[in-house]
Amino acid sequence: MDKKSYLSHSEAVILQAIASSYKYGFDIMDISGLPSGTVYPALRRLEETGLVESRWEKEGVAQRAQRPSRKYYELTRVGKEALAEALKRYRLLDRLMPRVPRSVKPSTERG
Amino acid sequence: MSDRRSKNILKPHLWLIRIIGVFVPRRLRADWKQEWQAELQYRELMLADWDKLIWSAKLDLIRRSLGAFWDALWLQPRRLEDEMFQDLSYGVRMLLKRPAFSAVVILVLALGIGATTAIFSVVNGVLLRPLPYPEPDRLMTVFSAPEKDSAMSINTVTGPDYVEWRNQCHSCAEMAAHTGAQPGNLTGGAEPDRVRVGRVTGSLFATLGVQPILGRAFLPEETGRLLFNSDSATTGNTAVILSYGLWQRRFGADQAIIGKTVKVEGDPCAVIGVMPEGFNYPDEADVWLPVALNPKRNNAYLHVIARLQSGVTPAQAQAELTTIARRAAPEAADNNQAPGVNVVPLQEHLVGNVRPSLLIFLGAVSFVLLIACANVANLLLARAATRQKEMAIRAALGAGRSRIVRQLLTESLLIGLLGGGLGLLLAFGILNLLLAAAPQEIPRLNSVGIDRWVLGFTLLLSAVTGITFGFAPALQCSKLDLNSTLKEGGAQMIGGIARHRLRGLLVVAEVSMALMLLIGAGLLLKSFTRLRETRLGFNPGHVLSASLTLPDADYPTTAEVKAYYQQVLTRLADHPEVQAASIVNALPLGKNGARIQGDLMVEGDAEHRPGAFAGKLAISPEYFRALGIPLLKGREFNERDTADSPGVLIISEALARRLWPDGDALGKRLNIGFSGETWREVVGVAGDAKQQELGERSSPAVYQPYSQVLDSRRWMLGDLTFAIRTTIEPQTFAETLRSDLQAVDKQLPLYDVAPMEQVIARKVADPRFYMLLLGSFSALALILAAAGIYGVISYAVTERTHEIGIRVALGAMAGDVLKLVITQGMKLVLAGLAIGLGGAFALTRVLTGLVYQVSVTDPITFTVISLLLVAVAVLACYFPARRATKVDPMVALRCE
Repeated sequence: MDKKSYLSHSEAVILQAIASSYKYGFDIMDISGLPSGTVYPALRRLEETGLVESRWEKEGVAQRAQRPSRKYYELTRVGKEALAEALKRYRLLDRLMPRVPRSVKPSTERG
Repeated sequence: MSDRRSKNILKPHLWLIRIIGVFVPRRLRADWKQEWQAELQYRELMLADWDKLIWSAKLDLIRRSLGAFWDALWLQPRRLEDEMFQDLSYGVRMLLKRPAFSAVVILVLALGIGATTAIFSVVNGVLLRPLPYPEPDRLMTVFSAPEKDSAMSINTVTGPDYVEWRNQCHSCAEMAAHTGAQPGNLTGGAEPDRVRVGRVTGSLFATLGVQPILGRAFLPEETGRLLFNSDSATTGNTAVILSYGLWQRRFGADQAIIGKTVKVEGDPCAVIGVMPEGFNYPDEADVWLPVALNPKRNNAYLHVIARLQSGVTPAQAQAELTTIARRAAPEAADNNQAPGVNVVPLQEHLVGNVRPSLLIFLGAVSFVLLIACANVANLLLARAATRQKEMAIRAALGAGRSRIVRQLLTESLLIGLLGGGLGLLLAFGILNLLLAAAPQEIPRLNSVGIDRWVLGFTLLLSAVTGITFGFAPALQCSKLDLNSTLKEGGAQMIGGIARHRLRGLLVVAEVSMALMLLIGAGLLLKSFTRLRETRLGFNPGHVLSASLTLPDADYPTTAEVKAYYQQVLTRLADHPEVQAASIVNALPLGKNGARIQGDLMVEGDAEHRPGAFAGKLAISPEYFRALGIPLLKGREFNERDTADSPGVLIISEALARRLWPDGDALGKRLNIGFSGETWREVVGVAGDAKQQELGERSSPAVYQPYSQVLDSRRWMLGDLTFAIRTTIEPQTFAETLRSDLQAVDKQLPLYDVAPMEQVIARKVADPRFYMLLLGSFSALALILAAAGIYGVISYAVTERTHEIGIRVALGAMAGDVLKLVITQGMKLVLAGLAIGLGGAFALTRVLTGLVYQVSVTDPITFTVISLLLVAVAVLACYFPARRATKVDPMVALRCE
């Protein structure tokens, strides 16, 4: 797959963030330190190339909080492979961000 | 909820999302907004309500929502793809819905694009593609030029000049000289072969930057010396380099060829190298021999090429070489009074003379393309009328004007690309025809082909034509008035006038361009007919011509050459089917042999008489009978005119008239102007025969018997051509001729074997090709223009059915209706004719170099062609007009 080999650093960081369970745009921004103008286009690109896929948060969860449903992103199989590949190049990547402990996962916590 | 929503109105970060959201493609907008709003609201919820937020948090939220702008920007291409895909699939559906219409439109375009692509690929291969040598733009041709018209002159160079230039010029990295490639015999091994022998200095290959793929190039000691002691300049050819083609063809790509011996022109030569595939500079050479450099300052026979130092301009090199040439000037006074040097890019020199004609044809074919575009635009305009309602509905449903234009342009772009694709296929066919028919005089034809540049050109052409012919209909369509169009029946009137005017203008343009092309073709046709009708002065029917070269090595003396031909001619005379057999050093209108022209001296003249100038020919006794040249006075040569008998001459009528306008030439004495010649007596006057060109005005010639050619003029008899009048088909006699030659000497190959009529046909190959090319373009243009006129008038009749019905109901007769419709068409045609005639007057002057004995503003051609066009136009109007006369007033009135 060519897509994997052309991962930029910020794309790799975003994949790593998603893999570490930071699944929403703003969460990814927080943990990676990347600005929204970088994160969102990168997410669109990754989705287009099939490395990540997106789903909408369950309607009920959002309704109770009186806000619209959020969109969350997940790695596809190809995305996981691409990340594994990228980790070989960017060795410090997996030490860059802590995994989100289940208890403080934003959406479940509020839901 | 409503409370929260009202608060949202005040929150700038959410506002920003709304504003930026406008730029997001509509299809993605809802999801996009939701994603951003959800994130921002969630973040806000996590922190506190907006009002309670600290400033830094507010700023952070705003900063984040500003990032949405980049996100929206990134999504822009999708808007294009999305709508373009829609437009495209819609376009395909529209094309499929009316297959006949689509087929016609695509075919018309394909013809235009195909022809243009084919001509462009020739222009690309011949003029544009760089020479196949490294850094070709540094390669120059260097000429000597008399100072006064140095920009014009392209003169060959003497040996000493070349050596001085090469030794002293610092602007040139390398310099080389050659004498072009001449046909020669290659023997040794199997059959004798006729090859093109290039004589070059050793530096030629380095100058061009090409190295042998096998063996080596010439060493300095093998070439490039000045030969001070020998006039006829034999180098003792020891080394020869073969072309890739010859090596493959004759030597079966023998890897061990190096060191083997072949005979070139009878001289044994050791093969020292094989050049790479495709290399055959100069003049399609098959083998390369070292050139002998003649030390005489009055013998300019070398072509010089140079590779400039990088960064040096041709002008700088020219300045430096001129200085060098002038330094040597005092000794060179007998040749050039004030020598100059002219430096011209090699490519320019190679193709410069065909550039004008190629560009003319590129121009002509682009006219055809424009006419094709106008035709397609016309068809689309007609269809646009039927699609007005569709457009109105689209507009009513909210499609903006730009949206409609874009959709229509996408459709025409699609048509353009389909036409381009089909055109490319056609171009392959047209190009093959072109290359098969093209005269060999066009250089670099072997580098013509469809390459990526041509492909790019076709793609660009298709896109540009698509937009060109699509633009007018698209604008027209988008400019409609919703209200009236949607109302039943409104469609016919609204926009009709503007559209009619536009369609009329397109027809006018088509007619004028077609007329210009037709006039151009008419001029070439007339010129060609003139050329064919030229009085040749001889009778080419039943004459076989064939050439032979006697190598210096095997026939070193003039006497041996004469003896050889004497034997062959005696043998030939024995065949019953031979009426007359002869030899000549330069066949009329042929291409072989020493074509000598020069001054003559008339006995009794104190100084050179103006007009004492003629072509100098050596012939055998039966020459005039063989070619059917009438002998007007005196006698022919015969067996008694030998080397030992008094010198005799026959002169042509033109020369006789020039030298003795009112006296008898017979008995007068001439010196034919070579050193060592004596006075020779004129014993006969022959009719004028065209010698070099069909178009030449006068052909003064002086004939001497070949038996009386002086011993020092061996070169005059080196290449001779047989001219044999037979009772049978001349071509069938070729085998007998060959076996006669074989009986005398097995090693000599016969070449250029062709009936005399074919020799003449070759002479008109160029004008014939140009005429056919422009002729087919203009025929195509005429057909397209006629179709255009037919389309417009036919459509107008349909639109005016109601009006015609009323006229008929009010008592108009069939004749009136016919007149009405034809007048409408002819107004357009006459307007086009007027513009076209003006254009033709201005443009046909580019044909000046291509026509013979025809003025480029020939009034007869202009008139005849205009009448032809009018006739075709009347016909194109007549069919729809006749349909109009059959309009039934009842039906016409009821259909409203």
